[in-house]
Amino acid sequence: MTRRSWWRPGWWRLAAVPAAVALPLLLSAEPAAAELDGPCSASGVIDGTTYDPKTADEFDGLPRKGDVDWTGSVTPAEGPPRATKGHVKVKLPGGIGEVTVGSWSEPDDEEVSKSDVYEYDLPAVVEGIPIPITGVHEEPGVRCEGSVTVTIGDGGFGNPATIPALVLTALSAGLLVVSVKAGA
Amino acid sequence: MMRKRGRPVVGAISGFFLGLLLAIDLLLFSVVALDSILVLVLPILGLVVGIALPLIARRSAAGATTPEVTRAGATPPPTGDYVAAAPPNDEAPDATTGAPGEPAPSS
Repeated sequence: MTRRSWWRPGWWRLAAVPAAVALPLLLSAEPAAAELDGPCSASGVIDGTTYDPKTADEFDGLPRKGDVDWTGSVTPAEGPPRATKGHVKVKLPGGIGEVTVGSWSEPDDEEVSKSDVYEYDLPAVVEGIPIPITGVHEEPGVRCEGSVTVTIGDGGFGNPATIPALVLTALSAGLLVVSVKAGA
Repeated sequence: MMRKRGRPVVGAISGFFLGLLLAIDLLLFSVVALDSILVLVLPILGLVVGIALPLIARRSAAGATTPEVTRAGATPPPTGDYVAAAPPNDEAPDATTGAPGEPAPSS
């Protein structure tokens, strides 16, 4: 009887490293494109560039800080006035939940369009991370849902956390190899 | 005495952080979105792999020590490749002396 020839010490270690790198790439998917359903419109202008989820597919390379001239409008089915409500949420890592970053609710809303200027300043560590944002606006006979994935800056090595993360990744991989070989 | 290979606890810790950091790397390079399930799966996968690899290495090392034990005359009898590698005298203890591999005393 012959011992299993494939069961040689070392082969699976060699296979584990490329598998660990390839698996996430195979399972990964492109960030969802921007979309906005319903009789609503919403857009923002940053540094002269208009970002509209109904016309743009990608919201990449947004400046880390600046002013956004935003505007939103709806074609009401009733009124005005009518009751309106809605919210904007940011999805949490891994899809474990959402954080509400803005909401509105008015029992007698007479406006069908709003606009303002919002100043923002985000930390550099979010650069390159595709951040999914969703929004909903509801009123009698109308429900608008929108989603967009925004990416701040270029990411990659432009993010100050990238090099430390890569170094720590290499150290963790090394420690994993040591844990396998320990005591040999 | 040979130490056992593989340290599952160290492997679990390093595997978890390897998975977590890989997820962070994928985020930083815009490969996956923040809400991707991979951000949760990779640390868990790393944890499992980090535990499994040292255990496999330990099992593999334990298998590799088997022929030395059997050649010393301990049970169980050798199997697999080591059957062919063992000298014929090792196959059974000598009936006269009770020790394997020793020549019988001359009368």
